[in-house]
Amino acid sequence: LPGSSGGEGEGMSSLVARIRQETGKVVVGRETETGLILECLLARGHILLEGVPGISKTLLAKAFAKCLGLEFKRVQFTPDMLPLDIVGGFVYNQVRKDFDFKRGPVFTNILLADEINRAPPKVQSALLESMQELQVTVEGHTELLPSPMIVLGTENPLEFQGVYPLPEGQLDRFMMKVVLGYQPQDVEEAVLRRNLGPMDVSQVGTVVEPEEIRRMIGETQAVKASEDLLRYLAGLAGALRSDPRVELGPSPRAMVQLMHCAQAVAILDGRDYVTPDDIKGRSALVLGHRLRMSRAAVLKDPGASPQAVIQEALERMSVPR
Amino acid sequence: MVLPDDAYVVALALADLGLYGWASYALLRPRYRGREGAKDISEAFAALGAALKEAIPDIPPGFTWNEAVLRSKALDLRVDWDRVGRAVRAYEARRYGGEETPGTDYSEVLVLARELRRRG
Repeated sequence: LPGSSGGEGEGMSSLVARIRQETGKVVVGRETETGLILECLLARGHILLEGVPGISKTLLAKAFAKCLGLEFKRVQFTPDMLPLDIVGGFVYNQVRKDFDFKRGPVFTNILLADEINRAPPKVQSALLESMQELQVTVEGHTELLPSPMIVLGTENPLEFQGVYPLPEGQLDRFMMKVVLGYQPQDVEEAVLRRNLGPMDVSQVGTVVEPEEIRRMIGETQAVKASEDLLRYLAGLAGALRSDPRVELGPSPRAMVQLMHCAQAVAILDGRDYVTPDDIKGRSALVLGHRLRMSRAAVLKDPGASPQAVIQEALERMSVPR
Repeated sequence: MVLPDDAYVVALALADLGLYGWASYALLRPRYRGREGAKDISEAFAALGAALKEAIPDIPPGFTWNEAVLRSKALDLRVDWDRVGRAVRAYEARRYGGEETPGTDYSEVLVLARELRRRG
């Protein structure tokens, strides 16, 4: 893709480079994922990271928060959790003889919801309002979450015992699902080399202030998407929903999030307008986890995947040129 | 043979003119060749679209300009890809961003279209 067009764009490009450089001090070979988390943050979305344990998901999230100067909290989800462990609740204050609202860990800028699929549905759904409305309501008491706020959910694809797969409604709240695999051998060697000596997140410097991030989020919202491209997005939704292999197609929220994501891609490329490449490049990541294949399609072709269906639709549909 | 001074100077001047004329033509030719085929950047990209379908029949209907350029690069054509890239950027700014990009050099897009037709 063409490079930055200059001016503000150069600022954005260099910012992305600095963020990648800083996180790269502790996390090796995760530049792409760092960029995707930044896109989600700018697009006011949340991201689901799927991968086996020990592939630096937590470290990546911590380093990302540190270099953006944002507050970070981590919650290890377990089957015995309660909603108040996430959102908080009312605690009796013996001095004042009244109930005080004690904020839960969701009151932060970056929340790492580790192994989110190990928590029971009641806890998972407690996150719903926080993720969608960026607020928490407990017993009629509503508190706004800090801005920006992004949930980085992680899940282990190999576990089947004691897990509660995320329902469609919860999955739909995540803007993107990114699968983290093992690194190539040379990167793995670099990881080992990096860990020979002492290494922690304190080495990561802050490259941008939270106020700057809030300004960038505002600029992302101002990125233009032409009428043609909106029509193209709606057409893509229709094509996927009417595909006989798809049982559940993308929701209107999914398409809105794809548009927001394309806006973030555009601004990080130094543009104030969306192109078809921005949409096509993020379609599989934004829509893939929301599509459910029909049982008949999977039986007929075990290799059939939502990503393949999306790719076919993108190739079939003429883009506005 | 000894030439009179005037004839010698005139001969040198003519040789110079010829040399500079040829050099200017060689330099400017790539810039202007093919431009006569399109009156603006939209027509140039329309011509490229048509040439792509001829040269790469299996290109899917959902191709974007950047994908088309990527596919064309694999054909090893004699094209200045940097200039094509700049033209794509300018065209997209106009097409999707509503930005006016007067004076954009889109001649290389027509060169690419011609090269593709030749290959097709």
